[in-house]
Amino acid sequence: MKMAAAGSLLPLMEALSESNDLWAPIVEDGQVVFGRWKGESLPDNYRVTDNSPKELLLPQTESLMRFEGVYDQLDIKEEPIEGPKVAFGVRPCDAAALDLIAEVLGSDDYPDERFGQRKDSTTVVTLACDEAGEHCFCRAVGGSPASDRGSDIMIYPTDEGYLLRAVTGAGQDILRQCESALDPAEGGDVESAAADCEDIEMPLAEEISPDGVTEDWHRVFESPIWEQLAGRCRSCGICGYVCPTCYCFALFDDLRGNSGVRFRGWDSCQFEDYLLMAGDHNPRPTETERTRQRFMHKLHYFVSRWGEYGCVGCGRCADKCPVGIHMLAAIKELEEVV
Amino acid sequence: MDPLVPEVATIRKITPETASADVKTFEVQPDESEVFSYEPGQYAMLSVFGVGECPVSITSTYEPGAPLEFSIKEVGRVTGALHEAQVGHKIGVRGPYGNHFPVKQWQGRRLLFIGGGIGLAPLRSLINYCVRSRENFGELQLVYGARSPKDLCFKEELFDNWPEVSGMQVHLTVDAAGDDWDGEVALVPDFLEELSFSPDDTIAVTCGPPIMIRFTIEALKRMGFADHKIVTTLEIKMQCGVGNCGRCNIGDKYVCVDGPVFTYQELSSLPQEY
Repeated sequence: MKMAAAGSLLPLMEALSESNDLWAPIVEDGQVVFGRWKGESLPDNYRVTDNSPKELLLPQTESLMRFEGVYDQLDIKEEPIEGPKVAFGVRPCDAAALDLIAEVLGSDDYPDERFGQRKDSTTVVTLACDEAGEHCFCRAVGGSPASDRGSDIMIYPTDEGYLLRAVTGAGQDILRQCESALDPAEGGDVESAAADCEDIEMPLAEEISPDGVTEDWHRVFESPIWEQLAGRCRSCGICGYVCPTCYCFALFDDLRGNSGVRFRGWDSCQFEDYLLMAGDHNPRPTETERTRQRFMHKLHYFVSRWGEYGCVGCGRCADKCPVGIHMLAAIKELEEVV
Repeated sequence: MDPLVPEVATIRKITPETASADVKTFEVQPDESEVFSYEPGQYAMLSVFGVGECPVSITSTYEPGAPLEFSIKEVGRVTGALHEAQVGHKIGVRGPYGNHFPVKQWQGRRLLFIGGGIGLAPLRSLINYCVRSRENFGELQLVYGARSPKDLCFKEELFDNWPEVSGMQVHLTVDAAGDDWDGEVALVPDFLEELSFSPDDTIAVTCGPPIMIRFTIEALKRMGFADHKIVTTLEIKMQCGVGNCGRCNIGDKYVCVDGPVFTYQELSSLPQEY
C-alpha cells in the first residue's frame, strides 16, 4: 500500500504522464470534463465529470474501416486502434459502468473487438468519493462510493492524504512506475479509509429504490406513467450521451468521391429514427414508447439478461435532462405505481 | 478481424422475381473465402459501400461450394442501392447471424409453411432444406400468397419444382387478379382457414407482412394450433447483428441473436414492440 506524497495527487499524475497517455477530469470552458490531461491538478470538488469516461473505450464516433471503391475494385482497410491509456480520477460509478458495458460488448459469442482491445489496454485509476453529489444514488442500484469494480487502482481520500491500493496486476505495474511520487503509507489503514467512503451520506439512496419496481413488468409496461413522464421529452438524447452505461451505437458510411469511411457512433433510443425502418414502420413511434424503453431497459431488460441494473446511479441524467425526465424521476413514479 | 467489418463479395447473378422486378434474387460469392455454413432462418448483414448495411435473410439452403442467395425487395436506402448493383459488382457480407428454424427438432413432423410476398424468402431456405432431406419430415404444405399473380416470388419452385416433391402440396392465392389467373383469390389467412389443416403433429411456420402474420396466427389458433407450434421469423432494424448495438430489442430479447425465429409462445411473453 502506498500513499500519495505530500497529500497531493499532482506528483502522481505527473509521474504517470511520463510514460502513459493520461486522461483525467480537466476543466474545459468552465466545465469539468473527462479529457486528455494537460498538467493541472484535479479540479476542486468535482463530483462526476460532465461526460463519462466510457468514451475512452467506446468513442462517440470512430471509424471502423476505410474503403476505396463502391461497387468496383473494392479495397477495405480496418482502422487501427490507438495505444494504451491511463484513466485517472475515475469515479467508482463510472469504473463500474465500464465493467457493465463489458458484460454486453465483451460477451463470449461476439465480443466487440475495438471495445475489448481498449478495455484491456486502459488502466483505470479510481478516486473513491468522500461526498455524494446532489443526484448521486449508486447505493440504490448496487454500487458504492468505495467500489473497486472495474478499477485497477483505488485511491481513497483521507484526512492525512490519499491512500492507494492496487486492485489488479496492471494497477500494480503502473504504481511501480511512479514509486518516486509516492510514500510508503505507514500506519495508513486502507480498510478504514474505504469504509469512510463507503459510509458517506447519500440521501437519495435512502429515499428511492428500484428494487421490485419491475417485478410485475407487464403492469409497469402498461402503466400510464410513461405517457406522463414522456410528455415533456424533446428527444434530444442527452440522457444517453452522458450516461456511463448507455452503449447503443449506429453504423454509417461517409463517401467522398470514390473513398469512404464506415463510422460507428453513439445512438440513442430516444431518437425518433432509432428504430424507424424502410417503409416508415416504427415499433416505438412516440416519446412514450421511447421513454419507457430507456427505463425498462435499465431497470428490467438489463436485469433479466445480465443479472443487475443497467444503471450505476451517477445521476448525470438528472443533472442534464432539460425537462426533468431521468432515472430518479422514473424510479419515484414507479415506486408509486407498484 | 473486427466482426463488424464485412467481407468483400461479388454478385454473380441477379434474377428478377416479380414482374416489376421490385424483388430480385442475388447470388453472392465472397471474394477471399468459402461461403460460411449456415442454417435455414439465419440472416446476413449486406453492405453497399458508401451507402450502408442492412440485415437480409439467406434464401438459399447451405450446400458446400454453392453461392449465397438473397431475395431482396426494394424498400429503402440499402435495398435501393442493391437493386442498382449489377452482376460483377462488389458488396459486403458478414454473417451468418441469428438463430434458425430448429429443423433437427422437427424431424418426423408435418410442416405447414405460410408465406406472404417476400416473406417466402426465409421460408424458401427451410422448404428446400426439407425437400432435400425429404425422408426426415412428414407431409409438407405450403400456403403462399402475393398481392397479384405478378408479385409471386420463386415461380419456378412454386409451379414446377415443389408440386413435384412427394408428399408436398403447394396452395397459391393472390389478393387480386385479372383474367390471367384462374387460381384462388383470397387473403392468405382466409385461404389458410378455408384449407383447414389439422394441427396434429404439425408445426406451422409463417413469414410475411406483419398484418398477415397477425391474422395468420389468429387463424392457426382457431384451427387448434398450440402457441409453441406456431413459428415465425421477425424483421427489425439492426446495426450490428451480433447483440451489441442495442437496436433490435423486444423486451429483454434481441431479434439479432435471440431471433429472428420465435415461437408464438415466446412472442406472447414479450412487449408488442415490433
